[in-house]
Amino acid sequence: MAIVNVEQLVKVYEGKKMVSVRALDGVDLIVTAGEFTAIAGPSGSGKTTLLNTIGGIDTPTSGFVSVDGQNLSQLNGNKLADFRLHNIGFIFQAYNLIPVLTAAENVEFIMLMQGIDNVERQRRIVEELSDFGIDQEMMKRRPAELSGGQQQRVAIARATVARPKLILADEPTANLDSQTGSHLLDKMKEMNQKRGITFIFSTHDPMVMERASRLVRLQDGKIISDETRS
Amino acid sequence: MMAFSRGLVDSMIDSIINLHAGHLQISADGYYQDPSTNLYLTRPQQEQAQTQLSMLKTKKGKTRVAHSAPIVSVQGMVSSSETSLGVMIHGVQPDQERQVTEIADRIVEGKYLNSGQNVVIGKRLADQLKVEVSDKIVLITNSLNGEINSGAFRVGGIYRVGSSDFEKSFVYLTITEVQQLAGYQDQQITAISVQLSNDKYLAEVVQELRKNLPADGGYGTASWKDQNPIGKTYEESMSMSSGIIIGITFVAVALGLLNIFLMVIYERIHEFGVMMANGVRPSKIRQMLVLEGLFLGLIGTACGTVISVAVIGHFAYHGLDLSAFSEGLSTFGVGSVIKFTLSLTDFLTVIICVQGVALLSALYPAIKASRFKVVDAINFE
Repeated sequence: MAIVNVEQLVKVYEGKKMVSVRALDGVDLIVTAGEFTAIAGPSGSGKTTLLNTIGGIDTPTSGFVSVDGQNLSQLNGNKLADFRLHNIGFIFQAYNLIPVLTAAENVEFIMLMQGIDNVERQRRIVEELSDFGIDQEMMKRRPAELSGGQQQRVAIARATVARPKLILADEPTANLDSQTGSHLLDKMKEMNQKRGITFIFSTHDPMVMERASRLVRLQDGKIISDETRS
Repeated sequence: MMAFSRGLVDSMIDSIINLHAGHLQISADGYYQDPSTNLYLTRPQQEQAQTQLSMLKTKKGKTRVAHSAPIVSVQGMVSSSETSLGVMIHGVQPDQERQVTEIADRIVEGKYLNSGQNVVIGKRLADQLKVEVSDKIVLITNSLNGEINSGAFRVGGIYRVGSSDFEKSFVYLTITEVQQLAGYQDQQITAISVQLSNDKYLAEVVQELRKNLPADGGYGTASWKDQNPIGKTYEESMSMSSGIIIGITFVAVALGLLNIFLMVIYERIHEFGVMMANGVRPSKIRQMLVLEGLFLGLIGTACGTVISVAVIGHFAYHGLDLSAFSEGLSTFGVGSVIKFTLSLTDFLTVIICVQGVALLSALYPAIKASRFKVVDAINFE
C-alpha cells in the first residue's frame, strides 16, 4: 500500500531580482508502507525540498502530494499540524531540539500534544531514550549539555516515540562521526523492520544508501534513477 | 503620577472648601452670582434652611452634612496708615465657623476671633498694610441703606494659609461687628456655610437643597464649584491633562512591550518552526505567546504595584515638598507640600489597563509568529 504518493510535483522558489529556482521539476514518486528509502543527489538537486513537501512543512507550486491517503493540499494550518503530529516524524540534520527543554521533555512534548496519559508518556520516554543509549542522568540534561551524537539520538527518539507511520530524515548523519552514524542507522533500520515505520532519507551518506531498500537519485529537481534492492 | 496629580487637585479643593466657605453655601437667591448686591437671608429663611440641613444630615446611616455656620460677607476696604486695599469682610460666629473652615487653625500671630473689636487678617495683607497684632486698621463698607460706614479695629490675629491671593483678600470679624458695620439687623445674614462629611455627597445634597429651598422662595444654593469656577475648571482640566499624560504613557508602554515581544519572537522563530513541524498547531503558538504576554503583564503589574504602593504610601504620609514652587502653587491655592492620594478605583483601573496593554502588545507578535511558514521558520537564523 502506498504511504506516499507524489504526482508531477513542482516547487519554484522566487529569488531576488526576479530570479526563480526550479527546485523540483515534475517529480512522480510512490513510496510503499514499510520502505527504507534513500533519496540521493548532489547539493541543490531538490532532496530536502522533496522531503519538506512530503512532510507538509513546505507547499508545492503545483502537483499533488498525499500521505497515507490524505491529500495534503486539503488541510489548513491547524489540521495539517494535527496530521503531522499523528502520522509524520521529522529528523533534521541539525537535530533541532528545543534548547530550553531537557532531553526527556523534548521527547515528551509530542506525546503531550497527542493526549497520551502521564504513565504511558513516562514509560515511552524511558523505553525510547534507553533504546538509543540515553541513560536516566542524560535524560535530565538540556541539549547544550549533550554531544552531537547524543542530541541526534534524542531527536530520533522524539520522532519515533509518537509512533508515526512515516519518518522523514533530512541528512541525519551529516553532523555525526561514522561510528555514531552507523549505529543510529542500524537502530532506525531495526525500527523499520520491527515497527513497520516507513523511512525516507535525503542523504549524501554512503552508509545510508547501503542500508536503503530503495535508492532514488535526484538531479536538478528530477528523478534520474529509482532502484529497488532486495 | 496619578497620585501626585490627584494630590495636587485635592489640595486645591481642600483649600477652597476648608478656607473659603465649606462645601456649599445657602444664601439669598442671586447673592453668590453678585455678592455686591445687598441680599440677605431673613430669620424665617435661616430656620427653614437649618431644618432642611437637619433632614439631610444623615442618609442610610451615613452622615452627609457635618457642620454649618452663619456668615455675613460684604465687600469693603481696609486702610492703615500705609495704604488702602479692597477686601472681602467676613463676619462669623467663631465657634461655629471653626467647624466649617480652617482659619482658626492657621493663626500664626495673635489669636483667633473673640469678643471685642478685633479683626483677623492674612499675613500678606498685614505685610502690605505694614501692620502687626494690636495695630489699628479701618474697615469701610457700603451699608444696606447705601451709606458708607467705617469702623476702627485692632488686629487681633494674623493667619497664614499659603495662598497669597487669599491672605490679601479676606478679613474676619465676629458676625455682630460686621452686621453693625454693614447695617444688617442681627437676624440678617448673607449665607449659611455648610461643611459635608465627604465631597462625594456634594451633588446630591446640593440637588436636594435646591429642590427643598427653591429660588422662588428666595433661596440660592451654590456649591464650591459654583462659587469658584476657576477651581472647578482647574479640577476638570487637571483630570483631563492627567488622563492625556497617562494615555500617552500607556502608548509608550505598549510600544515598548511590542518591541520586546517582537524581539522575543525573532529570537525564537527557529524554535517555533521545529514545534510546528512536530505537530504543534499555529493556534497553539499564538495562545502560548498571548499567555506569555499575560504573565509578563501580571509580573510587571505585581512589581509595579509593590513599588507604587511604597512610593505613594510614603508621599501620602509625608507629602512631597515643593517649597521651591510655593509662590506659583499659592496662586492656585495649593500648599507647598503635596500629599499623594489615589483611590482604589484608580489603582484597579491602572492595573487593568496595564494588563490590557500587555495583552494587546502580545497579540500582533503572536499572530505574526503563528503565520510563519514552517520551513522558513526552521531555516531562520
